[in-house]
Amino acid sequence: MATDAKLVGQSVARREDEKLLLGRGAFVEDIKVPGTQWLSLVRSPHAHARIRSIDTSAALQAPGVTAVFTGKDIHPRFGTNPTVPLRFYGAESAPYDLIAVDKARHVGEVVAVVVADTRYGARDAADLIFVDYEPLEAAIDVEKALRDDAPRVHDDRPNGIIHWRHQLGNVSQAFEEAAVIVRERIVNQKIHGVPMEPRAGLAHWDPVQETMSLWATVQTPHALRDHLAEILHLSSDSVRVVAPDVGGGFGVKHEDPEYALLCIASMHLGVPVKWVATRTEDFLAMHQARGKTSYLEVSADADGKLTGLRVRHLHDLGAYAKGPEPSLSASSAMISTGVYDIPNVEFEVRNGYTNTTPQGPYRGAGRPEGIHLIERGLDRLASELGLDPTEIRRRNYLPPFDQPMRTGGGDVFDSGNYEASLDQVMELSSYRQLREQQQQARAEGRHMGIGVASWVKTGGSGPSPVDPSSSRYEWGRVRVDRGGKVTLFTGSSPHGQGGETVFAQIVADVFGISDDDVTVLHGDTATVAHGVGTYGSRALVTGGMSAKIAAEKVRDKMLKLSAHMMGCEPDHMTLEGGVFVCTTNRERTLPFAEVADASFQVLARPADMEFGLDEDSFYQPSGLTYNFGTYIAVVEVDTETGDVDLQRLYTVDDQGVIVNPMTVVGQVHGGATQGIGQALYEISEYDQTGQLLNASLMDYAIPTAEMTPEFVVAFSETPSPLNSLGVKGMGEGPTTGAPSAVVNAVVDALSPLGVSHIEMPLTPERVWRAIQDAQG
Amino acid sequence: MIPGAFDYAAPDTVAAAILLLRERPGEGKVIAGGQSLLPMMKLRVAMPGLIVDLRKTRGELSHISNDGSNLRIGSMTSHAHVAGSDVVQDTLPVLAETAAEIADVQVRNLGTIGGSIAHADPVADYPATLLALDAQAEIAGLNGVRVVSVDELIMDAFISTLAEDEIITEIVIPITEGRTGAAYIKFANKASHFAIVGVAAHVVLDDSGYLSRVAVGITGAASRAARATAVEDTLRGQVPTPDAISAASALAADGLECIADLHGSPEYRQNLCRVLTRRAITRAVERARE
Ligand SMILES: Cc1cc2nc3c(=O)[nH]c(=O)nc-3n(C[C@H](O)[C@H](O)[C@H](O)COP(=O)(O)OP(=O)(O)OC[C@H]3O[C@@H](n4cnc5c(N)ncnc54)[C@H](O)[C@@H]3O)c2cc1C
Repeated sequence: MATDAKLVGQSVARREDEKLLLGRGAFVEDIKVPGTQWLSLVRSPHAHARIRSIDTSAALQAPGVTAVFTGKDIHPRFGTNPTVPLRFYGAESAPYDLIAVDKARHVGEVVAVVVADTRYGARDAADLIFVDYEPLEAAIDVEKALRDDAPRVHDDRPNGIIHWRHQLGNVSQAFEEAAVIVRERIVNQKIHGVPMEPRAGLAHWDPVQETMSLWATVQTPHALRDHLAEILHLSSDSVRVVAPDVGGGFGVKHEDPEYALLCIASMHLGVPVKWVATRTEDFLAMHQARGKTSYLEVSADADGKLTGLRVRHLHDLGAYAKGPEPSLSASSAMISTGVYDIPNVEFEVRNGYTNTTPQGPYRGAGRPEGIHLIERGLDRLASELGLDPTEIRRRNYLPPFDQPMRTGGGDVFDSGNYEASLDQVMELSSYRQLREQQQQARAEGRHMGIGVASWVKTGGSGPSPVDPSSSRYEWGRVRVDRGGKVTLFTGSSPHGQGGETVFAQIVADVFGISDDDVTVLHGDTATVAHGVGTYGSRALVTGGMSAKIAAEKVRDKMLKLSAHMMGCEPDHMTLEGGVFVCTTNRERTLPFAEVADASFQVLARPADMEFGLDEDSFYQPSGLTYNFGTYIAVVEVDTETGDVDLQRLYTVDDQGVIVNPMTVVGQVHGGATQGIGQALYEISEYDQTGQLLNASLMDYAIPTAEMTPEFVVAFSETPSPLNSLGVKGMGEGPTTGAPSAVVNAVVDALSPLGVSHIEMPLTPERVWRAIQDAQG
Repeated sequence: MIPGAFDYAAPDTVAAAILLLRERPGEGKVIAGGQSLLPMMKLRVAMPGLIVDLRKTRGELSHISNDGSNLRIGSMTSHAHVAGSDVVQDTLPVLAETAAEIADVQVRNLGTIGGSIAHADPVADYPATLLALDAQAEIAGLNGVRVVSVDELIMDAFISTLAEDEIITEIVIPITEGRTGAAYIKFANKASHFAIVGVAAHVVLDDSGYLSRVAVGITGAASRAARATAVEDTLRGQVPTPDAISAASALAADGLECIADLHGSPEYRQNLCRVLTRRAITRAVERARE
C-alpha cells in the first residue's frame, strides 16, 4: 500500500468510469423500492393565466389513481420553494409556491399533481384534470417587462428587482477623450443545461420513524435536505437525501419544487413515490440560463489602450428568483472587465421577472455573458484601429501577479499571468501561419476566420466579492479504520467531474499511501453529515482542501501516537511512504496499519489522547479563485448557406496546480463543447405569448460528438496563493472562453464582407442574414 | 414521453394485417420501424387504438432486387440496408447516398423506406430522390394491388393518399441507362438533422453532351416534396455549363410555397433551394461525365 510517488499531478485513471462504462451505475430511475407509486404533473400550457378553478373529479376516479392535489390543497400547510435571499440588495424576492395557486406564471409551471399505482396510469390521469384558466397578457422580453406599463408577473410588485450599480473613475470623461468608442447591444441568449439524465426523484416516507428519504438527481444533496426540512416542517436530521449516480448536472440540478411534491405525496400516501421527468418537462421547467440583454460601450485611445467601459446589463429572471441567479447578474457585469486594465468603469444591472421558466446558474454562471461583452468589444476596437486582435489584448492585459488584487470590475483576482497565456496559445496554434493561411484562403475565395478570446472565471466559492452573505464552506471528514484503510466523507457531490478520483489522490498523498486504500463517500446526507455540493468550479478548491485538512489532522495525530509507541520525540517522527519513521533512529519504523490499530487500544495510546482516527474540517476559502486562459478558434464559413465549419479550437487553460492532467483535459473538451453550443446552436425560442417553441431535442440543438472541432489542448499552472494545494476551479472556464473565440472567428471570416457583429447562436440563417445585410 | 394505451397485433402476412386494419376502422395504424410513429405517440400527438406491427412480414416486404429495368425495394427495407446495398450501389447509388443521410445509425437500422413515404414528412429525405427518379409505389389493399407514383402518393404534410387499410409493399424505381448521374445534397438542421432543404438531381447526357433528362426533387422547402419543373425545363436540351446550371438553379424555388419554422424562414429556404440545386446538378453532371 505504501508509495513514494506523489499522486497529485498524475493522470490517475478515473475510478468512477468502470462501473458507468459497464452499465453498472445506479441512477434514480434504476432504484426500485417495492410498492412504489408514480407521480405525474399537470403543467400550465399558458405563460400567464389566472387559475379560476380545477376539476379533479374525473382523475380521482381513474383506475389506479391514489391521490390528486392542487396548490390550494398544500398551501399554506407546506412551505414554499426556496428563492434567493436578496437582503444585501435591499430587495425581497416574490414567493415561489410549489404548485401555482391563483396564477400560473410560466408555461410548464406545476398546477396539479396526480399519483397512481403505475407510471402509465398517472400519466393518463393527468389528462383528466381540467383547469379553467383565464389567460392574461404575458411579459416575455425582459426589456419590455421592465417598463412601467408591462403586465406584472407578480401582482403585488413591479417586475424590476435589484438595481445594482458599480462605478470606478469617470467613464463619461473617458468617452469624451477617447480615440475610438464601440457601442453594441449584445444578447446572451437563454439556453438550457440539458444533462443527459433528466430530473428524477424517489421519495420514501417512513410513517413509523417519521423520516423522509429522497433519492434525487441533484448536485447539492445537503442544500436540498435543508430546504425540504423547512418545507415539510421536519428537522433536517429526519430528512435523508441521496444523490446516487447523477447523469450530468452543469448547474441546473438543484432544489426544484418537484422534489418537495414527491415528498408531500409520499407523506400523504405512506408509500414510496417516484417521478422521472420527460425531456420536454425538463425543457419547460428545469431552470434555464444566461438570458441577458446588454448595452456595451467601450473606448480606447489611439494606441488601443482601453480607457472606459460602460455596461448596462438587463437580466431575465424568469418567473421566480431561483437559486443565486439575481446576484449572479452583478457578478456577470463585474467580470466584464475581463483580464484587462480598464481605469474607468460603470455598470448598471437590472433584473426583471418575466413569464418564462425561472433562470438559474448553468456552467459559467453569468461569467460567459460578461466575458462575451468585453471580448466582442475588443475585436471591434481592434478592427476600428487596424490592430490584430492579439495585439490589442496584449496592450491591455493586467500585468502578472501572484497575490490577490482588485480589478476595475470589483472582483478580487487571486493570481494571473495573462500575456503568457496568449503567447502560449499563439505558439500552440502557429498563429502567424494561421494568418498566412487565411490570406491564401481569401485569395481562393474561401472565408476562413480566426478568433481569439481571453477569459477568466471565478471558482471555489467561497466568499462572494459582491454579497458576503452568500459565502460557502465545504466539509470533509477523514477516518482511518483499525486495518489502516482510509475513508473520506466529502460534502462535495461529484457527478462526472472525477471528484472521487482526485480527492483520493489528495488524501493518499497526505499519508503517502496508495489511492487504492482511500475510499471516497459522498452524495448521501445520512453518510456525510455536512456539505454544500458541487457547482461553480468549487469542488477541488473547497472539497479538496477540506479533505486535505481533515487528512492532515489525522496524520498529525498518528505522528503523535507513533512517537509515543516508539518512544521517539514527536518532532522527530515522519510519515514516509505510509511508514512511520523516527528520524533519530531510522531503524525504528511502524507500519501504517499498526499505528491505526493502536489508536483503538487502551494501552498503546498516551493517556490524554482520545480514541480513534476520525477528524473533520469545515473549510472556507479566504477568497475566490480565478482560472483563466486564451482560446483561438479556426472556422470556415460557407457564405452561400451561412454554415459555419468550426475546424479547430486551440485552448490554453490555467487552473493553478493540476491534480490530475487527464481529468482537466476532459473538462476542457466538455466545457468547450457546451460553449460551442451557445455560440453556434443553442437558444430557448419563446414566441410573444410565452410558448417555448423548441422544448425537445428534435428542435433544440446541442452539439454532438460529430459537431465538435478538433481540440488542441494545453495548460499552464499559475498556483493560487489562497490554498495550500495551489489549485483553482476549472470546469467552467472552457464554457466561458469558447463562445467568444468562436463568434470572433466567424466575424473575422466575414469581415471582408462588411460584417461586424452577429448575435449568438450563429445559426446558418443568422450568418446568412448578416452577410445579406452587410452586402445591402 | 408516455404514450396512451393501445392494442397490439403482429400478423404474419400483409393480407392478415389488412384484415386487422379493416376490423377497427379509424383506430388502426401499422407500425414499421416506429421511428416516426413512436415519437408522435409518445407526445400523444398520435393515439392509435390498435398497432399492427409489420415486423413478421419482413420475409415478404424486406428485400432489394434488380428486375432488369427497375430497382425493387420492399417497403420494410431499412435505411441501413439501402445505404449498404451492393445492388443499389450498382444501379442507383444516389438512393444509397440519400439513405445514408437519414438520421443516425440507430434510426437507420429501424426506419423503413415504406414508412418514410407513408409518413409524408415534408422534411424527409427519400421523397426528394424518389421524385427525381420517377419512383412508383405498389400498394396492397383489400381489392388487390395498385401502383401509383410516389408523387401521387404524397399529398401534403403528413398526409398521403393511402386508404386506412392499405399497406405499401414495394417501391419500384426505373433504372436509366447511358451517361447518367445523380446526387442528393442535404442541408440539415442542427437539432434533429432532418433536412431544412434537400435537393436530389438526376441527369442523363446524350452523346453530344446535351442534357436529355434533368430531374430535380426538392424536400424540406415546402409542405411536401416537389419537382423543380422550372429548373428542369430551362436546362433540358442544354449543355450543362456552370453558367447554364447557375441560371437554371436560380429558378429552383419558383412555384414553391416555402415554409417557415425554427430552422429557416421562407427566404432562407428559397436561398437554400437555389444553392443546393446548383450544387446537386453540378455534382450529378460530374458523375454522368465520369
Ligand atoms: C431522431 C430521428 C431522426 C430522424 N431523422 C430523419 C432524417 O434526417 N431524414 C428522414 O428522412 N427521416 C428521419 N427520421 C424519420 C425516419 O426516417 C423514419 O424511419 C421514417 O420517416 C419512417 O419510417 P418507419 O419505418 O420508422 O415508419 P413508422 O414510424 O413505423 O411509421 C410511420 C407512418 O407510416 C405508416 N407506415 C409505415 N409503414 C407503412 C407501410 N408499409 N404501408 C403503409 N403505411 C405505413 C405508419 O402507419 C405511420 O403512420 C428520423 C427519425 C428519428 C427518430
